[in-house]
Amino acid sequence: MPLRNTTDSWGHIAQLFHWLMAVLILAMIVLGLMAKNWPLSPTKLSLFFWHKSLGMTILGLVVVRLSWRWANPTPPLPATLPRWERTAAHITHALLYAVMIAMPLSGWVINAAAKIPFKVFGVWTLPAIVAPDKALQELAALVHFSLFLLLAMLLILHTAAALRHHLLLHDDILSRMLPGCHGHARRKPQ
Amino acid sequence: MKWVALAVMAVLSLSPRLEAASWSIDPATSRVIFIATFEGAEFDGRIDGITGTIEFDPATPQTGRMDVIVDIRSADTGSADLNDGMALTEWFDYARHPMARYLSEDITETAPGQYETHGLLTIKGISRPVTLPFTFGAQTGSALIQGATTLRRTDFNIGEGDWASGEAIGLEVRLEAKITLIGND
Repeated sequence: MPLRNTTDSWGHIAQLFHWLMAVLILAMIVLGLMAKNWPLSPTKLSLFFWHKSLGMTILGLVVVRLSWRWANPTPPLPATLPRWERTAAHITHALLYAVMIAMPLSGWVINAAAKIPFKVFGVWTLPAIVAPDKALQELAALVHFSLFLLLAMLLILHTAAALRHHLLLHDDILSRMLPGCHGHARRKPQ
Repeated sequence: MKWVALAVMAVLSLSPRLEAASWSIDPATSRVIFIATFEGAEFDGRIDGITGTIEFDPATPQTGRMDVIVDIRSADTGSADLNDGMALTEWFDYARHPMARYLSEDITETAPGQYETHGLLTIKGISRPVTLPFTFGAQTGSALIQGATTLRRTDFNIGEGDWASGEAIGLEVRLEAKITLIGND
């Protein structure tokens, strides 16, 4: 199976980006909710440290991932898919990318506006993207949490749709994102 | 010729003595910078509420005495969240212990122009002997004391309970003081 995408399948690199970032995003949701709700303590600070470090990692990965996507053919959706489904899929994927960029950026703004000392994984000092500002901090926190709610809805929709295609429609939409599964999907007669 | 001697003495007594022994701390320009670490990242803050009196003559350092009072509540890290944390009971407990105090017992000269004061530093109601090295520079009617030291915050119960391990917020805190003095004479 190739590293690059082909005209009918995702390559290994695209698949790696997809599943790696899926795992990181799930970890981030757990870390974020725990950090937010934990009582003020060294543990709370540590949870935020890992949440922020992974968040900035995701931001870096999204940039590389998008560059890779634009440098590769994008496997089209099956020709049999109705127009409303096509549109829904494109919008969902575009929103997922938008959230993957907007969430770490809003988090970065929270950190800078709150002037919390932070080095990504204790190594790289995150530059101050804004000046300290309590009101801006609160606004960015509201945006960040609202984006989380949007992300949660998108993930449910995205996962449900993938499972629908695989288990009900029996097409290869999910299997072509899985390494080694391509070509094993049974096509249901239309 | 006696009148010449009297005239000279009269003139000399009119000019201000360059090194007055008694000083008041100028709260407007005195400050202490503190430097600590938070999750491995260094940060700093400043404390501006400093008052007190200092008696010091570099010619006779052993007669010197310092009584420095610091309003800890004036501490500012630039972060409202960190500032709020400092006020907490487990940290500086602003409500019960708003003031810190340094009372020196003994001052010695360790090298030309370098001094050391041994005294009692009281923070959060806890007193510990602390040695502070400093330099002293005087002009007409004013002087400047600069000194620095590193303290272990847990010696004063600052950051109690889980915070005492030092894993999130470091135990060592560097202090850099710049105290401007106004002559009392």
